[in-house]
Amino acid sequence: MLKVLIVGEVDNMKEKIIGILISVINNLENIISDSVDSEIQLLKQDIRKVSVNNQHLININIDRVSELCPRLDVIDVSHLKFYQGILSLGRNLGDYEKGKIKNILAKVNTFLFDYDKKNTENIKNSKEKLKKCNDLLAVIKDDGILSSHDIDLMYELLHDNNVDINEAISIMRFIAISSIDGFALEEKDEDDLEEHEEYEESNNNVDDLITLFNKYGSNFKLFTEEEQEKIIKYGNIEKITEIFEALKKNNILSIDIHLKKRSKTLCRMFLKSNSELVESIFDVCKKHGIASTGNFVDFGILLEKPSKFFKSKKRKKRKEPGTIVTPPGGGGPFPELENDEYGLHDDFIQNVEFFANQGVDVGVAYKKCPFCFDISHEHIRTGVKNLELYGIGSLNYLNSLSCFGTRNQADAIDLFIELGYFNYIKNNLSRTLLPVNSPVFYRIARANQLGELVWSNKNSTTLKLDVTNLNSSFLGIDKENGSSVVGQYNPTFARSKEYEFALSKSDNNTTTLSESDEIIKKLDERYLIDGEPPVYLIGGVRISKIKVLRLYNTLKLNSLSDTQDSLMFAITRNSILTREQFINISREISELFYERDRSNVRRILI
Amino acid sequence: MIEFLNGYIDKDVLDNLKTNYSSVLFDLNCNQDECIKVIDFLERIGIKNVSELLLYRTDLFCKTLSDVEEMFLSKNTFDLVSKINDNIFEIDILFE
Repeated sequence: MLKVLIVGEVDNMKEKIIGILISVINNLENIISDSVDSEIQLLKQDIRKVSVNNQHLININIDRVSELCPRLDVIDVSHLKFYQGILSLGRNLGDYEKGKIKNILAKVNTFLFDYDKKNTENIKNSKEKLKKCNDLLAVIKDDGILSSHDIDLMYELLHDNNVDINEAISIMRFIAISSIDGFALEEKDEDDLEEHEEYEESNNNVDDLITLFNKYGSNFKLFTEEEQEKIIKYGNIEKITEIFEALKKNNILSIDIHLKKRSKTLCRMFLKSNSELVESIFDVCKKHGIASTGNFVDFGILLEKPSKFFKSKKRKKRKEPGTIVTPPGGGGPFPELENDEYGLHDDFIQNVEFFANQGVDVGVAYKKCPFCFDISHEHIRTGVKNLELYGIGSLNYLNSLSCFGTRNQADAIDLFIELGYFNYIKNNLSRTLLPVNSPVFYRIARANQLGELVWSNKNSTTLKLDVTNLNSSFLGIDKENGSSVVGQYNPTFARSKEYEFALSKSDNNTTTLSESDEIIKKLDERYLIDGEPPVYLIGGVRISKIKVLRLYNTLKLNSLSDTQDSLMFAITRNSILTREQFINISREISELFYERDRSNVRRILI
Repeated sequence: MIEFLNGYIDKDVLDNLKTNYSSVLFDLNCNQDECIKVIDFLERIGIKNVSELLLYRTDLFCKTLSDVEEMFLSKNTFDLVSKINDNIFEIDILFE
């Protein structure tokens, strides 16, 4: 079960993580400040001076040269010291000695060049790592949400700093939980209340509002009576004026046409948005050609998905279903919205910039798939990480942005891999939206059982229409009966509920811990077959290795791993297996655990 | 926030939306009345998988009825409905 941490434990764990981070940051800062970069440049300068006038040799610290160039021959070092001695006595050197010095310093120069190159690289890496660590520290101090990159970095730091394994596991568990809920696990409703805006009743004069709307070519009376009342009661004349000005600046000289269609949205906008948010959305749309022609943005299109005009709320924690928080002031104009996250302003801008940076024609993409821009940025990042796990890069997903309609592409991809259709899913990523109990999977599984092909063309790129048609009964499989037709065995495990609960709280897309697990290494040794992405062939059944790694990783983070049951759960979850296939896998895994335990006992006895 | 869809859309699809796509709930909520009209329209023209469609193309349900009608009329409606019933991804044709 997911352990709920109490305040003291949260603080304690936070302190530990902050302590580790500060120590790493100090080390990195030392590495950077201790950098011999400037010293090397000075030494190079001195060497150049020697080549002009040998007398300069007396200014060079030969011992330091020897330290910086450990590969320099000791005889060369002693020669340099000898010539330095001669010069310091005020004697001149002959041509032989001068030639000798020149040769030795040429060697030094070569060594310094190598050293310089390596040093620059190290400094660059250290600086990058320092920035990441500082960012992570800020997120943790700020009780923010950790991204999967943060989790990977923390794992790397724990590993590199030889933190005790038990402590490392407890920290990683804490991080995993916190990545879902934020660090403020036990900070109660005060936090939620802070999220809500205070509404002051302004009780405006209706005539003032009518005049204001008229001034901007609009008719206040086009709002419904209920909406008018809300604006009269809670509207801020100054704020409304600023929003009108922002619209005017963007050539929206009247909002009547929109009021007729979307008065509810505009009412919310006047009460809960502001001119800065409105302007920034117009700016980004103009910049990237979203719903716009030249300098003119189609406000109507933007209003179809209005969440972008509202401030993104800081995502601190997921609320338990049914949690009711009463906002101050008795609920404000939209009590029905107070408990929900709906503003996506920052996410929209981040999504646009993200896809634009990847080379997407955002204007076209928004027209085809606005959904992908109007969801949280973290959702997109999770999707990208999921796809990258399978080596699916931007070249594939940028042509199929609808695949970001889910944040769990991995389950469908695993199933396609196990059925032998990875290339198909790679080129048809919108199919990652299929739920794992879709008849499409059962039809492919049935075709595999019967040795039939389901391609509609010779190139094996498109599936037969009957396979993807939800309403067909291809191979006797309709919407409901797929599982029974293929004879699917649905195993239950003693701790299934706990496993499922752990998976439901995670994105299940990290594999760092499971990759180094002893039993996974044994699986690799015995069952891994060649191919990309990697597949295990266990008891004659294809199992996606990435599925096993990511699910087992989550179980491990929740201290639910290291049993035969948990591994079997990770191996067989979502797979379309018959009872016989399940038994075959189970037999193999039993043997694997038996061997592992036997070798452990042997090790102890020896 | 999307209680208004109860009875129009399958419960599991609504649960899925609430759990995984909370960000679109507000957009749908802002368009309540038109959204219901769009659902009625889609059912009237013979689309059988409206619930799945909502999950796949939420943006269609954020439009007004007149916009959606126009989108369908600009295509061969009968043919398109049949294609969508066979494969919901065919709805993308409307957005091309």
